[in-house]
Amino acid sequence: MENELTALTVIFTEFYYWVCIVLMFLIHVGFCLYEVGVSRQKNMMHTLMKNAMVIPLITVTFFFFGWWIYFALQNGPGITGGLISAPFALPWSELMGTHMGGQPVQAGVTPGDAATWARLNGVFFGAFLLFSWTCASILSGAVIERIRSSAFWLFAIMLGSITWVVDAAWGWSGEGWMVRLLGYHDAYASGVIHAISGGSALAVLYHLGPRIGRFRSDGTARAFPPQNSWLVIIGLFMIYTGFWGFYAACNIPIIDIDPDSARTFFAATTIYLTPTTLSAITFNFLMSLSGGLFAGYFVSKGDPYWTFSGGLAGIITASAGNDLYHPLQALLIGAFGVLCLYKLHHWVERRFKIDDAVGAVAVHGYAGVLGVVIAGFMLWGYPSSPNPEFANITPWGQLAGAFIMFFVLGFAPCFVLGAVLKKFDMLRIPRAIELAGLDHQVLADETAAFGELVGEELRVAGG
Amino acid sequence: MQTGLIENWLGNPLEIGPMYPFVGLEIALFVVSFALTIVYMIWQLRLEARTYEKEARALASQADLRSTIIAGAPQCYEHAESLPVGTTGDDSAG
Repeated sequence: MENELTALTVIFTEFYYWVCIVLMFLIHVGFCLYEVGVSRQKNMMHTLMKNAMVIPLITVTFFFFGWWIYFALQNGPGITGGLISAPFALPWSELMGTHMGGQPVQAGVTPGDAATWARLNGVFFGAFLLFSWTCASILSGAVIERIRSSAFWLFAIMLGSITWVVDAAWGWSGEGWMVRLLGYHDAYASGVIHAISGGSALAVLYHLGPRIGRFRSDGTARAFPPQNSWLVIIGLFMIYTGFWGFYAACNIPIIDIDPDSARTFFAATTIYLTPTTLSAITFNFLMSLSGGLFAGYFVSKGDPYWTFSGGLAGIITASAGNDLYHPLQALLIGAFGVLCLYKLHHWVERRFKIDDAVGAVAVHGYAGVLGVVIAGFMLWGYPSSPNPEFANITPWGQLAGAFIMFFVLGFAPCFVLGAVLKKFDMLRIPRAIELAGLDHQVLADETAAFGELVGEELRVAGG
Repeated sequence: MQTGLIENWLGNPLEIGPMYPFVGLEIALFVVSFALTIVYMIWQLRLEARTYEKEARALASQADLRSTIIAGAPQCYEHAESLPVGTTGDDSAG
C-alpha cells in the first residue's frame, strides 16, 4: 500500500467482495425458506436444520482444504503441469489470519504473497465459500423429506469443499487447464456451480428413490403441493437478490487489463481476466431473468412455482456468456433454456421416477449444461483468456466442459458415495419415520404439552 | 508475558506481519480443529442412527399405518378420521 492508487484499489476490492458476500448470504436464506415452504409440515424443522448446518460444515472444511484445492489443482494436476504451490491458502498459513502484509514469518510464504493476500485472502475465501454453500443448498432441496442428515452433509462436504472447487480450479480460474486447452468459458458459473450441483443431485436422487407415495402404482406422479407457497416465492425472490451478489462476486472489480504496456487501463474483468463491465452484466442479468420468467409462465400456464423457478433458470442458462451477450440475446437464451428444461424435467420424472422435490436438477443442472453449450456456439472463436496461447471458445470445448461439470465432477462422485451409503443403510431414513414425519417427535411433544395444558385448565375451571 | 509479535503500533506498518496471538502454533491448531470436526461428524452420525432406530421401533408398535401416521404428527392430519384404516402405503414406489 505504498501509494494512494494501490491503497484505493486494494481496499475497494476488499470492500467490494465483502459486500458481495453479504448479498450472497441471501441465497442461503432463500434456499432455506424455499425448502421449508416446499416440505410438508411434518418435516419442516428437519428440512431447515439439514440446510442450516451446511454453513458450519462447509465453512470449516473449505477452510481446511477447499481453498487450497482451488489454487493447487489448476493444472489438473498432471494435465498441464503439476501441483501448484499455494502457501497462502493452507489452513495453517499466517495469511489466513489477521495480517498487515508486512514481513512474513513462515517458511514458504514470500513478501509478495503477503503483500497480495493479506487483505484479499479472507474476502476471496468468503466469496468462494458462499458459492460452496450454494452448491450444497441446490442439492439439499432436491433430496428433502427422506435423506438422513448425516448422509446429506457428507454429500454437501464433497460437493461444496471438494468437487466444485476442483471444477473451479480447472474451468473457472485464470490458469485452469480447461480454459487453457478447451477454451472453456463460463463467466457466471452456469456449469461450475449449477451443472455440477444438478449432476450431483441427480446421482443422489437415483440412489435415494422417491418419497413414499410420490408415484402411484401406475407410475403417474402424485402432486405434493408446497405447504406454504408464500415461503417458496419469498425464498425464490431472496435467491434472485442474492444472485446479484453472486454475479458481482464472479468479477474482479478493478484491475489493469493492459499490464504489459506503458498504458494503464483499469476495468472490471471476469475470473478469466477478460474485460467486462458491471453495466453489461446488469443488463444481461435482468434480461435473462425476464426471459426465464416469460418462458416459465408460458410453459407452465401461469404456475407460480415454475414461473419463479423459470426466472432463476433463465439467468442460469445465460450465465456462461452473460459477460459478452447482448441483452436481447440473454433474454432469448434465458427463455429457450426454460422451455427445454421444463419438458426435460417432466420427461425424466415420468420415465425414471426421479422425485426431485424442488426441480433442482432441471433448474440448475439442465439449465447449467445448456448454458455452457449455448455459449460455445454464441461465443465461437472468442479468446477465452488474455493469454494468446490459450484455446479459443468453441462448441466442442464447451460440450466437453459441460460433460466434465455435470457427469465427471457432478454425477460420478455422488453416484459412488451414494452407492456406498446405500449399501450400509446410511442414506435414507426408516420408512416408519418417513411416514410419520421427521418432526413427528417434536409435533407429538407439542400435542402432549397442549393436551396437558388443556387438562390443567379444565381442572382449574372445574374447581 | 506477551502472546503476539506486536510490541507497539507506532512502528512502520509495512513491517507488520501476522497480528494474531500465538504465532507458530498454527499447525497444532489445525490438527486439533480437524480432529474435533471428525469427532463431531462421527458423533452426529451415530446420534442420528440411534435416534432413528429408537423412533422407528416406537412407531412400529402402532397397530397400523394409519395410527402410525396420526400418532406421529396429529396436528398435520386434521381430517385423520377420513384415512382408511389398515392402509399399507404399498402403492408407493418408495
